[in-house]
Amino acid sequence: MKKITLILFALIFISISSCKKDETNTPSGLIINSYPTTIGSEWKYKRTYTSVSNDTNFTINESRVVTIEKDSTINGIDVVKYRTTSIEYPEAYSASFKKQSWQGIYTHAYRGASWDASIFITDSNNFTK
Amino acid sequence: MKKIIFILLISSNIAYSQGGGIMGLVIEDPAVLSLKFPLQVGVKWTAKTDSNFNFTVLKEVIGRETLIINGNEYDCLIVERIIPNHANTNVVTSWNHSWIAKEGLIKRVHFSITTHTDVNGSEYTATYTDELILTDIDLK
Repeated sequence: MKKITLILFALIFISISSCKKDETNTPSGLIINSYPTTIGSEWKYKRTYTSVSNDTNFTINESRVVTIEKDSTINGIDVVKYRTTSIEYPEAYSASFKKQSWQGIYTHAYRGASWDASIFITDSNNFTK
Repeated sequence: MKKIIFILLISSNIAYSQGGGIMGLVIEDPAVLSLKFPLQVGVKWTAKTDSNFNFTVLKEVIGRETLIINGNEYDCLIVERIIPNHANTNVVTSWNHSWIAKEGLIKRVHFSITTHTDVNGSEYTATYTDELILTDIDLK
């Protein structure tokens, strides 16, 4: 009798564990397998930067344009160039050189941007062409 | 010997600088995995490991959200960037989320709270929010 009870408890425990695992692993349904890489594609963004401290508060509003430009080669690897400019700060410029494969989108180099792997990011407007 | 190493470092730096920008071109070797495919909720990966500066950049898809911009719906996955061993010790809180759709980056928010000390030795905090949101898109 004890054995049967133990087996029943074990089965219930395994069942609950597997249910929890299923819940946490359930995908949301959206799966993205590619990123736009066609030359000439363009995105426009509004950027709002706000800084608040004990004595200085300020907000910067800015418009960014990201364009995919002609192919480049980095260390012998063919990449596409995502070029970011700022409308309000026309001297600002950054670029990210990326290559896409079935495994993901890789950043091979950048100019005037953060080391961050984000698709388009510039931490400052101090970069000139 | 030190002089030779210094010259070699300068030379390699110049070789990487293309275009005359202030920072020049920075090569990522190995390449940084910006987005991992298939991208879906729950996926985690290491985007970058820098042994020289002793930090790692981790990314995770933490959720899904539909954003409506100019009447267009963008089905997005929210990618969180995490730097667990950040060298900047004055950071109290910092997070970075990117809303990625099949059409590309739709929104990005970086938020951080840092502590500083003023000239009188008093400590104060500063809060930074940097938001980028799509206004127009033209995919070829």
